[in-house]
Amino acid sequence: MKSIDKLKRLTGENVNKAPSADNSGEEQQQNRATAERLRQLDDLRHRIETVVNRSRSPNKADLAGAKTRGNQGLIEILSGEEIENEHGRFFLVSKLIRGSSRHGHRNIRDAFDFNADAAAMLANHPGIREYCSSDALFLDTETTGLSGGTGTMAFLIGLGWFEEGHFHVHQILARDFGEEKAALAYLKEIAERKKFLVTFNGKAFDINLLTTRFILNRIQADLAGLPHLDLLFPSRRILGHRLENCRLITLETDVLGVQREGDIPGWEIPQRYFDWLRKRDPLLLADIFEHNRLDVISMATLTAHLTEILDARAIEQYVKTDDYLAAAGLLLKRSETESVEKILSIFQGNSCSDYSMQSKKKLAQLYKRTGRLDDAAKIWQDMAACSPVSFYAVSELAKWLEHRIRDYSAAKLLVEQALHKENIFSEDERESIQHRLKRLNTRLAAKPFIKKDDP
Amino acid sequence: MAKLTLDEWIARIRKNKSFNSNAAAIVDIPDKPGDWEDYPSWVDPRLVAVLQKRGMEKPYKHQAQAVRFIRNGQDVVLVTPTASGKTLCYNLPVLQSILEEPETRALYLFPTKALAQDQMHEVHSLIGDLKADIKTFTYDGDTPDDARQAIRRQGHIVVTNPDMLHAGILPHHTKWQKLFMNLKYIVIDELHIYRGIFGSHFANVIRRLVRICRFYGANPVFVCCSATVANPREHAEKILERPVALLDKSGAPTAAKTFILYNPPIVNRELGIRQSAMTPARKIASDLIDNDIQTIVFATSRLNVEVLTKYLKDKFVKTKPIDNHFVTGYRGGYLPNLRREIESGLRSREVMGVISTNALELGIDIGNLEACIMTGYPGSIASTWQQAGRAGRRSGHSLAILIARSNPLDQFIMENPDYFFALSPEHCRINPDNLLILLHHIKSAAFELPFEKGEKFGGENLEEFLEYLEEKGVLHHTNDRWHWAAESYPADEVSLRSINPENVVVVDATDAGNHKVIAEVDWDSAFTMVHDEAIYLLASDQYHVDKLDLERKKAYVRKVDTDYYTDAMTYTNVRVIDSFDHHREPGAIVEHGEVQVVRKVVGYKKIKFYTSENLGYGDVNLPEKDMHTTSYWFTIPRDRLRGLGFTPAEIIDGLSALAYTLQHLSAMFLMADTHDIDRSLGDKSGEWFVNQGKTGRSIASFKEGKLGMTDSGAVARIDEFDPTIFIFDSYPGGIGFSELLYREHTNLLSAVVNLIRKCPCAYGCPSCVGPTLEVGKTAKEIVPKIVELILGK
Repeated sequence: MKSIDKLKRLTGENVNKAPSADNSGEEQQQNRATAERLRQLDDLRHRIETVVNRSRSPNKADLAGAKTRGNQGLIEILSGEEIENEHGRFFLVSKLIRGSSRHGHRNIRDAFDFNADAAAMLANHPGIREYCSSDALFLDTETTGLSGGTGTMAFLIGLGWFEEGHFHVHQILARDFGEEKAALAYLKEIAERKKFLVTFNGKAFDINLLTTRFILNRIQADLAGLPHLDLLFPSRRILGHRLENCRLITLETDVLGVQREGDIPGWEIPQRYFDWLRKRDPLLLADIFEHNRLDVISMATLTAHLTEILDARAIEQYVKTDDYLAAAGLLLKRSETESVEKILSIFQGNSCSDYSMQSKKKLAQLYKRTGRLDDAAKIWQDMAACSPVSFYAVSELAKWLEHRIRDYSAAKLLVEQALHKENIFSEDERESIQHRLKRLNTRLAAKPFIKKDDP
Repeated sequence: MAKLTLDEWIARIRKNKSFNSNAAAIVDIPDKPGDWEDYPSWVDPRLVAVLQKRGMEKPYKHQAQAVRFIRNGQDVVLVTPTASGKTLCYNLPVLQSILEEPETRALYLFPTKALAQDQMHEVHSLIGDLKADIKTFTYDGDTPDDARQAIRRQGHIVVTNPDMLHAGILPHHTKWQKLFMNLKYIVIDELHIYRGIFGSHFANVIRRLVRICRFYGANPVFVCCSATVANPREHAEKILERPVALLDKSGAPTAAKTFILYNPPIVNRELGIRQSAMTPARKIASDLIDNDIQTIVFATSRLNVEVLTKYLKDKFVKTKPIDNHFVTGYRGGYLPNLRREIESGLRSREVMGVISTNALELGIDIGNLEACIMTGYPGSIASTWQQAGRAGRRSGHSLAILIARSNPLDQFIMENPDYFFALSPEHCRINPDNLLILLHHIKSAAFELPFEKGEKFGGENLEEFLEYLEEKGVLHHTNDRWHWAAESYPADEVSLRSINPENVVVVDATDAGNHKVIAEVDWDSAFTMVHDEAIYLLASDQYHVDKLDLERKKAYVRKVDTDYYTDAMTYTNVRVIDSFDHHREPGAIVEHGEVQVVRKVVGYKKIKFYTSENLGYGDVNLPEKDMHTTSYWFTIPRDRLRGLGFTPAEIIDGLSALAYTLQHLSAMFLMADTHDIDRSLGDKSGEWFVNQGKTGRSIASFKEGKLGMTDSGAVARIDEFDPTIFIFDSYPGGIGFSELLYREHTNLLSAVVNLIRKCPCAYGCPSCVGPTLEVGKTAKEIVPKIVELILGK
C-alpha cells in the first residue's frame, strides 16, 4: 500500500473507493460533471459581477470582451507588459495618473509638493528633511497571507512616485512563484533610485515581508535600511480620535473623501491569487490590481493631508480642530517648537473657546518645558483672564509670580480673585489654592516689602 | 531525641529486621576517584584561568576528550551521569570558538523552559567571569517582544526549546539570518527525553533545522547529551540522521550513595495485595525529615503528590505550625511564582521536604538534598537514576530509596535488581516517519523553504507527499519546486508534545466577589481531575468542583474540607478501521492496523483519606473523546474458548488478566512508558467491550455512539462475540509500537506465561495478572491455558 493511501486512512479520507458492482463509478463521474458545471456557472456569475461592479475601469469594453486566459489575457485586460531581466520574466502594469485627475477631495497635483520637513516629523526621521517629494517611493504589497513568516509571498508589489506633476504607479506581478526573483530584482532597481519609503503599516508588514523574500531569493537588498514614513502611526495619532478604526479604507472614506466601488475585500485576495495559479483567469487578478492601485494613490494623498496638518495649512473643510490639537500633541512630544506654535497659532487671539484654551495650554506647556517661562506667562495671563477661570492658568501663573517674579502681593491678589470669581475648581484644586494663599500670607507677613523687579 | 545524621540513619535502618526483610536490595555505590587530563593547548588562557578559578584545575578525561572531538567538527553524544560536568564539554569549545571568531553563533536546545533558564545562569556566570563581550539569551515564549530583535542579531549563544524552534524560529528563519549564517554548534541536552511522540516530532524539527542551515551554507556540529540508556548512539543517529561518536566513559569522581530497593510487605497473601507504596513513603519521609535530613519524595501522579503532601503536612503541623513551606508539594499546575519560591526554599533549606512529580526530575537547581524517596518505579531506569540524582548531586553520602508498587513493572525490578544496577536495558524509540507527524513537518518545511525536485526529507517518498499536498491546495508546483500556497501558518497546527495544547484553568470561586485562578490542568487531565463534583487537590487543600465549563475552558471550584477524594472512572472502546497485516496462529487471528478509540469518563468514586474506603459513586456527563491510532490485536474464536471448560465469567476474567499482563510487558519490551500504550478487551467491531473498572467487571454495548451499560448479570454475553485483545498506541496515528508488538506477538505471549508461572502468589496478584479482586481467582490458572490455545502448544 502506498504510504499516502495509509495516510489518507489515518486522516479519515476516502482512498479511491473501489468501484462496486453497480455503476456507481459512472454516477460519480456524473456528479463530478455536475459539480464542474456548477463551478463554471459560479465563475461566470462572479465574472459578470466583477465587470458590472468595476464601473470605473478604464477598459470596460475590453473586459467584457476578454476571453483570453493566462498571460496573454493579463496583457490584454490590464494593459500590462511582460518584462524580462537577468532573473527571468514578470508582469508589469505602469500607469500615469495625471496631475489633473481627481482622487477624493483633491487633485493629484495638489498632493505633489508635500513638505519634506513635515514628512520627516511624521516619520520621526530627520533624514527625510533633505529630500523632496519626488524622492518618495510609495509602496504597498498584496500577499498570499497575513500570518507572516517565510511562507507568505508578496505576489503584487505596487509602487508609486511623483514625477513632473504627475503620479506614476508601477505594479509588479509575479504571475507564479517562479517569477518572484525577477519581480524583486525590478523592485530593487526602482528602490535604488528613490530616497525614502512611504507605506501604510509597512514597518510591521510589507517591508519585513519583502526583506524575507529578498533573502529567500538570495538578492542583496536593504529596503529596511531606507528612511521610512509609515503612515499608520501618525494617522492613528492625528486622526485616530475620530475614526472607528485606522484602516486605510476608513481613512479614505472619512478623511480623504475617496469612495471605492466594488472593491475587493482584503481577506479575499490570497485565495484569488491561489485560484489564478490554478485557473489562469486574468479577471481574478483585475480587482486586486485596482485595489492595490487605489491603495498606492491614497497613500500619496494621505501623506499630503497629514503634512498639511502639521504645516497648519490643511484644507479647512476636511480637517477638524481636534486633528490639529492631536498633531500639536504629536509635535510637542518631539519638541518641534516652531511647528507647534504654527499650528496652535490657528487658535490664538483673545478667544476663550475650548479649543483655544486647549491649544494655549499645550503651547504654554511647551514654552515652560523649553525654558521660555516669560512667553508661557503671557499665555497664562491670557488664560487667567477668561471666565470661568481654569485651575491650570491660575496655579501656573501664581507659581510664576511667587517663585520667579517673587511678587507675592500680585500672586496673592491673583489667587484671591480666582477664589471669588466664577470658577470650576474641584475640591482638591480649591484646597491647593487656599494652601497657596496661606503660604503667600505668611511670606508677606515676614517680608512685606521685598519685591523683585519693582517697577 | 537526638537527631541522626544520614550515615547514622542508614546504619540504624540496616539493623532493622522488618525493614531488611522488605528490602529487595541494599546497594552501596562506593565513591569513585576522578580521572583528569590537561586543558588542550589551544584553549584560550583567559578561559583556562576562569575555569581554574572555579575549581576546575584540570578537565576530567571525558571532558577533554569531548572538547577535542567537538573542536574537530565531530558530532558527538555524551552519556555521563548527573554532575559529571557535561555542560563544560560544550561550553568550552563554544566559548573558545566565539573568542577566536566573534561572529560565531551557537544554539542550545533544552526540552523545557525551566532547564533552559537554569543552564543560562551557568553560561552567564562563566561569561561574566571571562569579561568577554559574549551575549547569551534565552529565546522562548516568555521573551518580551522588544528584546527579540536584539537577540536575533546579537545573541552569540541562543538558548531555546524545541517548541520555540519549531513554531517561532524556523518559520521566521530570515530574521535569524545572522545566526544561521554563522551557526557552528547545536547543543541538544537531555536527548533521551526526545523519544516516543515527542522524539518523533523532534527528529523532524531537526530535519527542518538542518535544511535551513544548508540554505545559509552552515554545517554546524551537533553536541548531544543523554542520560544512560541502552542505545544512545543509535538514538542520536536516528534523530540527526548522520554518524555520531559516542563518549560514555565518565572521568568525574562520584560520591558514595546507598541505593535501596524496597518492596512493601504483602498484606494479603491470598489476594497477593501489597501494602500501598504510599505508606512506607510517608513513614520513611517523615522519619528522615524529623532528623533534619532534607528529603525529596517523588510520586507517580499529581494526585499522589497531593495526598502525600497532606499526610506529611498533617504530621508536621504540630511541630512546625507557622511555616507552611516546611513540607510542600511541587508539580506542574502550580503557578510559576510558587514554584520559584519552593525552589529557593529548597536551596536555603527552609523547605526540608518536598513531594514532587517528575517535574523536578531534570536539571532545575534545587541544591543539595540528602535523601530521595521514589514512590513507585518512575517508568524507566534512566528516570530512576535522574530522580535518585536529585539527592547528593555534588558530594557527600546520599540515599535513594525506590519503593515498589504492585504492578508488574515495579515487581519485575524488585525481583531482578541486577537488571537495574547493571547496564541499562532501555531503548529510546522514535518513529520520525509516522505519516501524520511527517506530513505535518513536510508542510512546515515547505512553508520555510520551497521543496526542490530530488530533495529528501524523511524516509518516505517525499514527492508523493508533495503531490498529495498539492492536491489539497496547500502547495503549488512550478518549475520543479513546490511552494507553500496557503494562508495558514502550519507550525501552529500541532504541538510537539501533547495531543491537545489546550488548558483548563481552575478558578477558585470560594469568595464570590473575588475569583482567583489557582491552577491549570491540561485538556485531557481535565476530564478526570476537574469534572463536576470532583474533589480537586492543590497544595493539599481540597476544592470541590462546582462546574467544569469546557466551552470556556474553566473549572469553578470552592474550598472545602472533606475526608475523601475522588477517582474518575473511564471507559474505553476500540473499533477496527483497517487491518494493515494479519496472520493466523493456531488459536487466534493476530493483526495490526488502524483503530478508533473512544474514551469516556462516566463516573467517579469517593475514596476516604487514610482508609481508602469507598464512600460511594457519582455520575459524570462529559463528551467522549475520539482518537484514531494504531494497534496490535488478536481475536480468539468464542467456540474455542468455550472448549476450555470454564464459565463465561471466568473466561472474561482470564482475558482481562491476559490483557493486563500484556500491556505491562509490552511497555517493558518497548522500553516505553506504560501511559504510552493502552489496552482494551472487546470485539473487533467495537460493538461490545469489557469495562475494566476497579470495582468489578461489566460488559457494555456500544451502538451508534451510545453507551448501553449492562450489569454483571450479563456476563453471559461473552457468547455474543469473538473476544479481541487490543494493545494500542495512546497517540493519534500511532508511534510505531504496534507493528513491533505484532512482530513480537509470540515472544510476548511466552513472556506472559513465564511471568505468571514465576510469580509466587497463590491466585494471581497485581504483579502478574492483576489484583485478584479485579480479575477473579481463576485468572492465574486460566491465562496460561488461553495462551496455549492461541499458540497451539
